[in-house]
Amino acid sequence: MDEEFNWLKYSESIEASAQEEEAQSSRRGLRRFLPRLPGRPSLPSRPSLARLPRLRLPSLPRLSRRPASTSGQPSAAELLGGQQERPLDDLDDRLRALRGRSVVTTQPANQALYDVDDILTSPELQSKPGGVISAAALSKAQQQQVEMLRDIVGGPEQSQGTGGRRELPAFSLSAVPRLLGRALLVLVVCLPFVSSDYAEGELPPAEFHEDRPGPTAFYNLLDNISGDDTILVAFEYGPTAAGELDLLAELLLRHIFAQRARPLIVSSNPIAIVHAQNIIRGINRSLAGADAQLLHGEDYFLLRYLPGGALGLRELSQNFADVVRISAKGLPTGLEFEALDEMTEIVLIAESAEAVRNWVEQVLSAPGGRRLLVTTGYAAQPLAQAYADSMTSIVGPVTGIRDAFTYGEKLAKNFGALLPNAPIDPEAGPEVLPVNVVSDSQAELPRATEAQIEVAPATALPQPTATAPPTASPFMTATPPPTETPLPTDTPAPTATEATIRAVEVISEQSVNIRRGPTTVDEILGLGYQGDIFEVLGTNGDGSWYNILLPGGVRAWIAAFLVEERVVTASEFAGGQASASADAPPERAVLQLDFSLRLSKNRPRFYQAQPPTSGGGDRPELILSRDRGLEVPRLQAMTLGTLAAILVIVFGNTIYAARGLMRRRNSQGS
Amino acid sequence: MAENTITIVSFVLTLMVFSYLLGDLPLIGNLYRVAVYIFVGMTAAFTLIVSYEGVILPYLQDIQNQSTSWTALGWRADITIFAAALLFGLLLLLKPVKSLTWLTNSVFAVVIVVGASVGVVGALNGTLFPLLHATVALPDDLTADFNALVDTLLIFVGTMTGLYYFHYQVRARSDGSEEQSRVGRGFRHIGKAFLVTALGAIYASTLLTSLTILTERIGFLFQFGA
Repeated sequence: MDEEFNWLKYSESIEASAQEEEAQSSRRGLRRFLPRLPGRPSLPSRPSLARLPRLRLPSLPRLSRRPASTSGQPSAAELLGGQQERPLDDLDDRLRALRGRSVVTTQPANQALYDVDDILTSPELQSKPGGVISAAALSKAQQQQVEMLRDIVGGPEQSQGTGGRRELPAFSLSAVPRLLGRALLVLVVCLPFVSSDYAEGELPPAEFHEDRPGPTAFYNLLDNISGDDTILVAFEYGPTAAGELDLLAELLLRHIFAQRARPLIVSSNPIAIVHAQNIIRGINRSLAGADAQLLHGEDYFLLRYLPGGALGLRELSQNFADVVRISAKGLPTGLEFEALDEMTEIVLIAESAEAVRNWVEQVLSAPGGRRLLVTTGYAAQPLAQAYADSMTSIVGPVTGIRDAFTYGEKLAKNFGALLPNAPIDPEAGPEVLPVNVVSDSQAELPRATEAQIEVAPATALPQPTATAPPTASPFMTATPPPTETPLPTDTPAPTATEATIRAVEVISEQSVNIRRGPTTVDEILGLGYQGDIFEVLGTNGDGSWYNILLPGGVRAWIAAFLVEERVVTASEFAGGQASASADAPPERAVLQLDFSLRLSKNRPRFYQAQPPTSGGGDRPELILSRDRGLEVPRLQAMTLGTLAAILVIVFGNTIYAARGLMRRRNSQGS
Repeated sequence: MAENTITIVSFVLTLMVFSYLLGDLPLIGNLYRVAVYIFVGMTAAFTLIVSYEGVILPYLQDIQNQSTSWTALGWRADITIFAAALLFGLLLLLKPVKSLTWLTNSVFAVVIVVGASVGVVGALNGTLFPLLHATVALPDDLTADFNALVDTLLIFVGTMTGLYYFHYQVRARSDGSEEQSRVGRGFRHIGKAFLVTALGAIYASTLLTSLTILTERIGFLFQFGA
């Protein structure tokens, strides 16, 4: 009995062999752009038509395999197998078009649609086990993107799987160039750590570039939180991204702590919660003194883990009161919030685009006006930037180690401290030191800069402990006790329920210069107009200049004879600013962009000599104690590493193309 | 003492992971794997602890007390949810029994359906609609905001040609073949260029991430040596 011939299976087997041959002989990578040499030997004769796209073969009737001798006619298989390869030029336009189109049409549907699939599929289903290997190897999404890029532009096939065992071939000489490339990369990256002679590239600027308003707005928003605020911090990265995001996360936490706000740390990644705890322990270690420890349950809260990825975040947005009730240790937090609406700002520290997307989709899209302050690694930056450009409720992103460096510089400037190991810019004018705190590290600073500042007296704060001297601490030396500021007779006394602030009001009818330093030769930072009110930080030695705070946290100086000192309430301040800004000239509006916002909240700052609210911590020390370690060599190593990587990629592709040429010539010769 | 131990262990593990750079040597490769396995194992252990301490145990404590409620639905709902979760968990254990695999699959189906529905709703409200709005929104004053106009046009062209590249707009002939004009091929090439540029930028971002982590670890090694 004749065996029935399965045409479909036969055509598939032919295609499989053709694909294998195609993989062996195809022009991939840069080779595809090289001209074909004349006299190229003809391709193997089998199979021929199988190299063409799939021709809807299942629609053909089934054929029976019969020996050719019995029917006297060649079978279809014999016909196909006997075909000789025809040069592509001999094909008519239709066949050539079909062949060209087959390159795309044979792509698996899930690959062509990967991005749509990526969006529409629940992130829960794509979740890795706690983001375990996400930085040790490329994430699933990154792998897909790289594979797609490789499919489009060509290049050698590689296995990038994070799971499964990688077969290790025996060592061969062919691995030497690859090893040399890696050794070169590592060597170049190591150079800045060995010697400062290899310090290539410029360090990031001390201010975010004006073309990137997102990071500046991020900093200003965080700088305007008040001591009463509780801010939700989403920690969405684990140890695998620590090298990239630890610095930023630590800076953000120090900034929040220094503002006397309390972070509620939450995560859909269980390891991230443990990691956040480690970072805060590191901050506590840097604080060294027993009186300055941050305490869980008072200064910060680690909330319970949100299982289920996107589902957990949905739970957070809908049952916020329940989420904040339990800490990561399973203990009651004592926090009483009714809904997520009470969180006006949420800080997100995310290592992956998926995490950014989850928070935007599940938390930010829920009803309620809140802002998401986004910090990401480089891999998640493109998506985060697209969100920030499209949605006003997303602020940032602050990205990677370079932005972290700038953020740290701004913190140092805003808190008036020179950090240990911080580069001193001789052209920056007189540095402003923390007014009521002189740490051990500052004792080494030039005395001339210290002498320029006098302590700003504490204002009449509503807290009953306002007149108490600050808690003794190893970080607070030479700190005079805060005194009551004598109120001017024409100034109404502040009410007991509203905080006050020491300020100066411009009384000159002419615009006055606001300078970087307390001399008339210092750089002019802006102009002040009659009626403008500025927060006072202190005075210079003879009281002829006031040290004031400008919008954005910039410290500046203004001549004392042009202003009048006052103690005002926050509402007076905001009202004065509103009326003053109505007819302000354009340049003035720039200067006071967020002035009313800053002062209306009357955030307590360290230089107001507020007593500690809990734990006895001295907030400026949170900034001062930061060890910058190898921050600068790391940045230089990144610059060199990027150059080396580009060199390796270009060199590798050149070698690849050259080898392709040589092979072709060799085959031509044989 | 503990700090020193942690630092030494970190140093050794870092060296083991860095052995991956040497790649194709079997012994070296095993060292890398050992470090990764330790990492994965510890991660799994921490995940279990955090889940148990922060989620499971408080839940169990809550449902024993009628005066407290884990969810806003009330104590009885908590009990019901707990019973369902327990049942689903037990059903998952039936996976090795082939004849009852359908029960395990049913549990997965519930999780998938719920997850997908949450994902789709979030994607529509949080991503697609806002980004679509931003894509089609033109600046108020085209002459004043030329850069925004260019951005909008680029996004529009990139979106359309990208879709064309993926053959969403290809017509099928009556014989099943696909019809594509020269103009269509041109669109495809433009879409391809957009895709290559975008994916190349993502690839570069990934490279920067790797370099950042590499420099941090190398810095740690130098600090340890010093």
